[in-house]
Amino acid sequence: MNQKIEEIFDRLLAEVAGGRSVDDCLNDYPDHAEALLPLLQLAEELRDLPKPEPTSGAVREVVKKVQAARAHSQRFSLRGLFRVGVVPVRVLAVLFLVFFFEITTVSLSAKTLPGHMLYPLKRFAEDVQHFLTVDSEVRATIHIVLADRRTYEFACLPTTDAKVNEFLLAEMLQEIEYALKHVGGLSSESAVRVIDQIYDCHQFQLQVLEETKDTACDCNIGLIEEAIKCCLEQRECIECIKEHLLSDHSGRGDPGT
Amino acid sequence: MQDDTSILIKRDIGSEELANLIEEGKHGNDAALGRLCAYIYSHVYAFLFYRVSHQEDAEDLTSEVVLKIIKALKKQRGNFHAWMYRIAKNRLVDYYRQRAVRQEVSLTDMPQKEVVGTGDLSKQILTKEKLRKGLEKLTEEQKQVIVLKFIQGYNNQEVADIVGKSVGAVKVLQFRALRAMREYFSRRGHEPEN
Repeated sequence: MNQKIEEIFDRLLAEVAGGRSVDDCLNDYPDHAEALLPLLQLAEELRDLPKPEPTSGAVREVVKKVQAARAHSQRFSLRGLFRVGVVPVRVLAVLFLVFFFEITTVSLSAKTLPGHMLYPLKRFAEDVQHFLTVDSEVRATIHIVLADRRTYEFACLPTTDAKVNEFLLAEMLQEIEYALKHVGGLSSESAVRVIDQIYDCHQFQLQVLEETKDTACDCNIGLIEEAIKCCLEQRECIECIKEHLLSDHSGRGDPGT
Repeated sequence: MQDDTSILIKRDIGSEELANLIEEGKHGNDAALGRLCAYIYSHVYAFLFYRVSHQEDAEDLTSEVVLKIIKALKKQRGNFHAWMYRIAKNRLVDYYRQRAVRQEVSLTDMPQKEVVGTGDLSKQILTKEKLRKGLEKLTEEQKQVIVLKFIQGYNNQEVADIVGKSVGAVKVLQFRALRAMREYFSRRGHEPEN
């Protein structure tokens, strides 16, 4: 019964809202007229209440607040990225700083000479580079580059009024030896390419040694002459290998020495 | 944000246009957010207006609700109106709770005098105040149904979607709510006008 009167009431509400008079509607349901009349009148009164309309000023005020809140939250989210501590971002930031510091320091140390405070860093970077290299040809090339660097360092150091750096001189020649050792494990084509580079580097070493000898003080001449002698022996070896490689390469195309 | 708020207060917008505004608002489009603010404001304000004593309270509450809605807009899923009115209702419940605490501790917060006078304006104020008091006698669901259907003009299906009930339940709620209000007004000597 209750459900029925609620359905009837809702139907009558719709009809009254559609323009039919309350009395006319109630004529269809005389049994419920007494109960439904005050409710329909109340519903009509509620519908006739003025619709609450906000002022445009109030709305504009809220829009401004929303704008301000959004601007604040955007600033906060950018700050929060670092302050609240998003772990991956922090780790990346630290890695970037370390990487940046490393690159800068290594770059600065690249042109340093023995005795400079950054020289050990330069040598350390070279060791790391060598350690991380697996390929034989690249390793040989690294030794050639290092031989070149040691030669350049030797040429830059004073030899006219101070004793030459024996250790540096030995290293300079040793790097060529190391490069030659790697040639054995290369294909004939790669070996030819590397031996050419070794030959060029060796030429540069010989040239530097001879120029240094011309201007060196007496205390250094003996050592430099000994180095030149070693260098010439190396040269014979290099030429021999080169000759062998070229004949081998043109003949069979097999892996080299 | 675009300043076309006054235009949006005056007219309603279609569901498709509203869906577009919500979607663009979620992506941070300033113009869409401005229009959405105006839309939400006018609807929430109408929802709250007859349920609080002062117009200023209605405006303040509406502002808070709009800010909450815009802030949480990206998380919104499903029926937008149901979500919007749920936030408004929750804020209103908080308001009632705070007001009850204030009234307990402060003797200066005296009940408002009912304005009795002649002319249309005074009659409207009196009617609003009576309606507010009448609404106070209803359950939360009944209040929502009365305001949504008779003040805001939603149909039964829309009201059902918003309050999360069936259409049949909405019909029952509206009938019982009107009957309760009618009984309250009879006891207080207020007769609906013919």
